[in-house]
Amino acid sequence: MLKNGESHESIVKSIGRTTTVDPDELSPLTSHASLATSDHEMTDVNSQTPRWTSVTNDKAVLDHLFQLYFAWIHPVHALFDEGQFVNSYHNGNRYCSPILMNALCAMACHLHTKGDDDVVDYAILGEEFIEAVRDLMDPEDYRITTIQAFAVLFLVESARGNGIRAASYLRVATACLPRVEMQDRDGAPAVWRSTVQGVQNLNV
Amino acid sequence: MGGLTNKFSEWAQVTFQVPSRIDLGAIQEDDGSEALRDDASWHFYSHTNDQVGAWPSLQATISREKSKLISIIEDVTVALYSQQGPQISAQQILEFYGRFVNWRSALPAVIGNMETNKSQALPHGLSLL
Repeated sequence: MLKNGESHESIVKSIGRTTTVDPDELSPLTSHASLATSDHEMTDVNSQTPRWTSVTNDKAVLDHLFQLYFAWIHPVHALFDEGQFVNSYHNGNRYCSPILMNALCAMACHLHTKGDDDVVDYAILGEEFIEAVRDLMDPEDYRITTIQAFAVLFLVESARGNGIRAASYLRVATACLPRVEMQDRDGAPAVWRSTVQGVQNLNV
Repeated sequence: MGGLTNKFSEWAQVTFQVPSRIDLGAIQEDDGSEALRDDASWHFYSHTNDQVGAWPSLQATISREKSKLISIIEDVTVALYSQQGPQISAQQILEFYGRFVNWRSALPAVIGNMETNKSQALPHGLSLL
């Protein structure tokens, strides 16, 4: 229960969070998160990259999660066009969204190999990412990134052994694909192809 | 990756539902981006701050061949796990076997020979073999 005059730090501690070093990083608009090494120049640390997740703004953690996802999930289950995704990640365009980012990070948390010197509990972090996805779910949301997020959630729940729940996410992703309105511009055909092919390959 | 693949088959067996089909149609046409996707780098990354080499991911080729394999598996799944029970003859089983064999023999050499060539064997390529 909050008390009158309670400090910011004590409130943060009571809900199990840690205070950020720089209050400016709490801005919902910008952050300096860099991404994994790839051919799409994802490590420009000077760019004003929009902040896509409220779960963490730890650059090292996000880098690690993206490295894991693009090494072990994306090559096997390509659910979106990587180039368009990275471009949108940096520029705030249509092919990246908070719900997709949180789903992607949740999957990557599952891939983390626990080490003795881990500062972050990736199991707990994964749960927080999943919770963030659920908070962002909207039954009227038919964006392509939301469908991609549902497909990623299928992978997350399959990895956790929740087959029934996983199947539900995949059914939603499959059923909603025809309702997506993709305009023929800005790489839309490549994004559409990747998503349809990726979701189709999950339907086995 | 093996655990995720096994879960897909178990789901089909447990739920006895026909997998949803999406009409791919024209989306299978290559707009010329496949070469770029194949050349995109793949890194053998596991731990924080890993400094690892990079290899061509062959992502577009592997995804394309995987789609062909999935199509065959879908047909087998529908035949074996229909709600009316298995509606499959010995001849159909042989036909399915032939499709799998033909798919495997038609794999591009860069993937099909991944087990024996001297270049880096990609895990997502090996998962098809």
